[in-house]
Amino acid sequence: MIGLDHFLVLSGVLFSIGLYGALTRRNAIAVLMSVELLFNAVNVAVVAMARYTTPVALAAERLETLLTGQVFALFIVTVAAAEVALGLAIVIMMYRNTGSVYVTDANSMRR
Amino acid sequence: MTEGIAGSGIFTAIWWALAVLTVACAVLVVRLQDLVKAAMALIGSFLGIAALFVMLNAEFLAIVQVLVYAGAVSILLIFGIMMIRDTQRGSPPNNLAVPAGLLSAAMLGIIVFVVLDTRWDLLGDAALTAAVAEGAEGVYSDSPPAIGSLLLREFILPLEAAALLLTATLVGAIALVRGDR
Repeated sequence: MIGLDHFLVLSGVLFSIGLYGALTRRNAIAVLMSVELLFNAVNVAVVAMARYTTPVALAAERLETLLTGQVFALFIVTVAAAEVALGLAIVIMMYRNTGSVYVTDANSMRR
Repeated sequence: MTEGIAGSGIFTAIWWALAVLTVACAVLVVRLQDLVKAAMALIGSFLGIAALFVMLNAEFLAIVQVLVYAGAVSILLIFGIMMIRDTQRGSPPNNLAVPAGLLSAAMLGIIVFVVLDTRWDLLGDAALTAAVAEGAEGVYSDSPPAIGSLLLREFILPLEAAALLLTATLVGAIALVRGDR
């Protein structure tokens, strides 16, 4: 029987893996990929919470509010897409300026 | 949500298969030295999560996940990797492996402890009246209209803010990559 706790623990496992990757990767693009894993882990937790719990004060005539968690996840997806586009632009600029994409080499915002 | 397909053995089996697939792909993402292969593993992880969304009755979100993550974001990342990949040096890890591993393990331990120690059943179906439960099945089986209604009523301000954010990102990314020519 799969319940809310299964989804939350899976989300925690994914979050920890992504955190490990974001901290240990040297390549900036690999760090971005790990951050995407973090976003996805949070999304799983948010949607599972919305599915398995019901607000006590839920108005019976506004049942759409049951899907609030899914709308939250939609906004998280939007922000993550914006983040990866801008992050890649910064990485490309960093590569152009310093010739390296390693976060350990990034210690200056100027040329 | 206690009866029906969610309680059946096949649901449990599929869930475990998807969980193993997603976690294995995530481990590959943070361990593989070849970043193109890591990006492929990332796509696998995204698809596994999309399938988990289907199991949570969030079909619309699963489609969005496939389109935005497995489609757009991963293609963007692969383009970035292929443009600036450092093939001579690969992608070695930095020297933070031990503290990062300890921090991640502590994080996981805290999350698992909190999840298992909380009485989630107090939040769940206990609050469901029969009428709400009946209507909820309708909302979940036909979710896009309900999501659209939520977005344009309760969440109209965040929706506009998201539009502004995407515009700013578009302009910012072009301005950054274009440089000062």
